[in-house]
Amino acid sequence: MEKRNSKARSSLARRSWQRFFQNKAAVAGGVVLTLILVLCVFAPLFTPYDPAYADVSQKLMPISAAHPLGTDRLGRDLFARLLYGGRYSMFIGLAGAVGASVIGVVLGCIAGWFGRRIDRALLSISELFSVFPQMLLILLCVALMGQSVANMIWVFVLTGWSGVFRIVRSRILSLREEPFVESCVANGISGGSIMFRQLLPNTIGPVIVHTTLATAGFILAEAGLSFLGMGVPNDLPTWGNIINAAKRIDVIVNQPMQWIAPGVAISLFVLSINFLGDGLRDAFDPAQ
Amino acid sequence: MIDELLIAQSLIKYYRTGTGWSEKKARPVKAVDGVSFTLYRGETLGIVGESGCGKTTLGKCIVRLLDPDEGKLWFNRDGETCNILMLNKKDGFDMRRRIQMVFQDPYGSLNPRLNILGAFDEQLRIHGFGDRAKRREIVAQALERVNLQPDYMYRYPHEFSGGQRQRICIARALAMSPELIVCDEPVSALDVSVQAQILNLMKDLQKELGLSYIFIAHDLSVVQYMSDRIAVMYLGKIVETASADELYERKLHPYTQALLSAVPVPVYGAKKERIILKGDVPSPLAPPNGCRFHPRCAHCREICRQVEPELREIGTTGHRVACHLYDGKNE
Repeated sequence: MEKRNSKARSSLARRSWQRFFQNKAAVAGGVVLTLILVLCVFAPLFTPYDPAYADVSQKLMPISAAHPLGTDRLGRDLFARLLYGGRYSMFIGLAGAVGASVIGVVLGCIAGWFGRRIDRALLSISELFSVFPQMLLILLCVALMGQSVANMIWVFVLTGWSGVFRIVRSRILSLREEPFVESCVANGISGGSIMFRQLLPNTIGPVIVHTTLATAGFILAEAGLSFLGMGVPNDLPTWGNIINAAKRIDVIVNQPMQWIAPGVAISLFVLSINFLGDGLRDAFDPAQ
Repeated sequence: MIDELLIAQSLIKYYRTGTGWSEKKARPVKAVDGVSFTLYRGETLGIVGESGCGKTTLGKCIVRLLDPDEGKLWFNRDGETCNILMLNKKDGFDMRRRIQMVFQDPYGSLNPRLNILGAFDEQLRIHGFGDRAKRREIVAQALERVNLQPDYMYRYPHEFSGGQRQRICIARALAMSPELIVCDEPVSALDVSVQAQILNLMKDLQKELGLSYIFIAHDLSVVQYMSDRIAVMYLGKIVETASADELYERKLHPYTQALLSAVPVPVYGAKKERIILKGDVPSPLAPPNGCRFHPRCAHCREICRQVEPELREIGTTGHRVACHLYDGKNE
């Protein structure tokens, strides 16, 4: 009995996963993403070098068994920098996206559920954030708050919540007219409980998708900012910083691995997470 | 012994139209405009009327999904009568358990992301029905009462048919051990064969548990089958109430006559005189003066245009009608 129950209980999730595994691009994205994650998280297992250790005698070494991707101008192992840099890049992207989603979900629930003035006020604020050119806003925030990993994440959270906010708000707006919500109200279930226990699970599919895609977006944004010298402090090896270090015409021409390697890492990561996000959307949103 | 369970006294619910600053200027939609009725314990009161006459609004006022603007709702709570619109928080909360609602749309009535147990659980928990195991037992019992297997509680709504879902909704109401269930067109979204199942189930449950129903519908044969008494609504007002048999035998109000002449007769070749009403229902934004039905009434007289008729009793059977045609008869 208990076994049957647990099977029946998960049937909704199981069907979604089945649909997900039929999507080859999404599965490939998931595999590549996992690979990159494992490489970066367990970086010390894959490279013996310290990403910050500069060995000037070894500078600008070509690809070899000792240095799989060569070394940079200061003699730091590029492969090690790439793996450790991935940690920072992914952490920034993920933390920014998750933080933005949490804020967006909470405010979206509140706006959608209460409607009227609260909705109008929150919607205006979110519009303010979304009509303002995001890159400019980020540059402004970085200039005001200074360069650090924490500030970078804060900036992404602050500028990124409006997308999820609008998704959740519109879902809640339509859901709250459903009879099952009226039934909850008629039974005296509190607004907070209806919002977060009854309605929120119905919005979570698109939110997960948006969060994965936002992660990719923020990693790109971080790389872009670092390239402009407005991102994370230069001594931290993020993917953007690695490209930034290769920003000289002689390096671009003579040591192409300096920018190809981090470029490919970013592209692979963003592509795989996009495929994964699309697959998740198709799997978890029956309306698609 | 017959005792009253619910007495509505001139309930009024207006919807404000327009938004923002124009809200105060706009005329309200008079959805329910002075409705009074009495519901006895263990009986079914049918409420019929065409679309937009305020049936659903009335139902929602009774379960307090909407707050009536004026009027009183007296409920017989364990022997003492109280106005459920004026209760304190705690007693009002308790009333929400005693008056349950079943909705028209069985597909939207269950949260697609929660299994059946989850859909029942929170309302049972906040109304103090005991711990987890006890609540599960209550859900199992409720499902058995509507002829569903108890272990269906672990399934999700998409695994059920429309008829099954409506039975689940009835079970959800039953789980709260209510005294009154407001059924807002509970079968109109279902196949005819399934409709009969649900209606019979509801009748059986009423006998077994002594429930009272307020049965809102536009399907006249369904209402006749279900109801002990029927109230006919037109443009936010009750125009006639009588026991079900009496109403079908002796319809007094011209609107009721027209409405009931539209019921199909299940006899081949049966000749029927249809009363076809002229025109449309007037807008509830600006209901006509006098009797609300007068622009479409074949028997309209001068007084009908000016004076609004009151609902008054005709005869001794509790038959009440709001029509000037019966003025002076049987005071």
